[in-house]
Amino acid sequence: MDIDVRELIDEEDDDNQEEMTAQKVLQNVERAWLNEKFSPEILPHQTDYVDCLLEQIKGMEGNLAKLSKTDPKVDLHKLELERIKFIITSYLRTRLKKIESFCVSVLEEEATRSEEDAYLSPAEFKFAKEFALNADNHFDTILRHMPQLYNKLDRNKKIIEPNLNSFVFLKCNKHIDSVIIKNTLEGQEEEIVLEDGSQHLMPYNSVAEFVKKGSVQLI
Amino acid sequence: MMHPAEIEFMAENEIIQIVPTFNHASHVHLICGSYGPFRAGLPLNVPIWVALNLRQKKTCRILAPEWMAVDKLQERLEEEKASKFFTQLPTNFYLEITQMLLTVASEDIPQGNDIKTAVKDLWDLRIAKLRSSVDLFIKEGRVQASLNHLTPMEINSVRPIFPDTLDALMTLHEHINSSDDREDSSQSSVATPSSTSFSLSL
Amino acid sequence: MYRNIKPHYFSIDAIMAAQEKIQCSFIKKVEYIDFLDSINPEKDEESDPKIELPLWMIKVFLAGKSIQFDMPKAYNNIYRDVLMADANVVDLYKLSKHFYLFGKFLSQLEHREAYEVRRTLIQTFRDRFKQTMDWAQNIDDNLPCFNRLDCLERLIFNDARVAQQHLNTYLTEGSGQMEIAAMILNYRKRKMHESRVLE
Repeated sequence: MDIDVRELIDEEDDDNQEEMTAQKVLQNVERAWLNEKFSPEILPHQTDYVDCLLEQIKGMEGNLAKLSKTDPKVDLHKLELERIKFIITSYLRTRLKKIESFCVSVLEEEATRSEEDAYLSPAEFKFAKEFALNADNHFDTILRHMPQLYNKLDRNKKIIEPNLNSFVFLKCNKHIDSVIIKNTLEGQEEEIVLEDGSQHLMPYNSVAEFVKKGSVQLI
Repeated sequence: MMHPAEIEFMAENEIIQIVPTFNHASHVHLICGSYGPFRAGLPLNVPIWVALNLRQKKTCRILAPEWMAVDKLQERLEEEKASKFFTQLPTNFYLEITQMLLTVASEDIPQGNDIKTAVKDLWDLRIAKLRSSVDLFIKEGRVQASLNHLTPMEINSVRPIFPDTLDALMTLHEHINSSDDREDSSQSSVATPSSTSFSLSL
Repeated sequence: MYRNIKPHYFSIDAIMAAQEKIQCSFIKKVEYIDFLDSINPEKDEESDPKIELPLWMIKVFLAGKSIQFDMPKAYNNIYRDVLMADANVVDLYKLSKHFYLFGKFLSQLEHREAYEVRRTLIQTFRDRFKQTMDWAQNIDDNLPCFNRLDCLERLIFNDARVAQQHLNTYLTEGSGQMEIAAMILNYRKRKMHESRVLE
């Protein structure tokens, strides 16, 4: 038991490498959380990072259970775990909400992607399919009582899509030479340069690819 | 939507200085980084959430960040008044940090009330500036705005109304899509609008 | 037409807006639709010049070029002038509940004033924005103001007001911390409960 405690608290400095990685992972999940919160569409899943953090949490909780309750550092570790759990649950919940809202279109787009480029995690994909099936069954039980002409719901009608032209606030993580903004008001296009560190408001569509690549952070 | 508490949550990751009242030779290895050693009377850097937790347990004293002083804030205020644009502030979370520190550690921070007033003045000034630029932006019908140096809480103060309004404006402008018709596509394709409404430009 | 979602089939607002009635007259004889004018079953559509029909139905007849319609009062040239002069004084809700959405649908129809209607919608929305934003910011006693907003403005106003209330509470009481603490507390309670169940 004492060994575990020392490992937790008195890690040698040469372990810094690994520590940096955990910190990096946390930062990535924090960024993914904010991007997901503000993007109108569902973004590529970050399951690797989330799973990695969950592993960390599990390991940490195991170690903490062995520590004395009066140790001042126990509180700090526990508090940090709660903070991380908050981010993860908020992140996952935001994604579930989008899957529920845009179920049909999310599934259709997902069908065009290869496994490596999938936006949904396997668990989310399963959830989406079941959700769509349940919705269909529900419509059927009601529409069954309608006259034959009206007892089918057209596929197109079921589609609810995010408005990718929605305006978003963003911060640039690196210099981007050219961002094209479609000006609906004047029916023309504008091209602008995004400086590193600059903040902007513009339609999501203009920066969607940069958000996915990580060079733009939604704020 | 973002709740102000969530922005404060992000602000809690900012680093500040504390002076512990206890000794602990080793670092605390948190996932967000390693902090320590804790030596009674010697200042060290920690995330705000750590500082607040220790302060609540009365095991440390919090040192106010350099910018959190009445004269410094007055300077900022004058600078902000003189500038047409938003000035760059020493932190992205001036309002939240002030609020948190003055709530939990008011005894550690001299002139707390004056600081609070100065920060509120700075906030009010910047928000007023922000709101009039939002109004101008909508009137001018632009589609891109630079928001340099605005803090997350300031940006959030015009959310959702600012992006919502722009979204609604764009939708009013948009060319006709059959998707907002409530009928079969076969009919809407016939019921096309007059050509004039296609080339709408103001 | 609101908040990150494209217009869609299930939109209640769109259904309501498409149900608004418009005065119109047939320019061609259309058979088997006597039931539309149930009050005067005797007359056929050709001889009865004015009739009120919902927008969605008018679209059907417009497709067959058998109908023409007058711009509803809220969108005719008199009101367009009023709105262009000062949109802020108008009780939009009274004028047309779904002023913008119904107006947008109208401007998509074949009509010589369609372009003018669309232009008025955009200008009106723009002119009234500052007022809506100011009302949403000043929480006290804005019911009379709220009543003058059309349905789209109401949606935007309501969300803006909720956000403003959160911000005001935060500014006066802080206590974001308390909420997070409450969340953790609940979590601990749940965990305690779970462990008890396990035992």
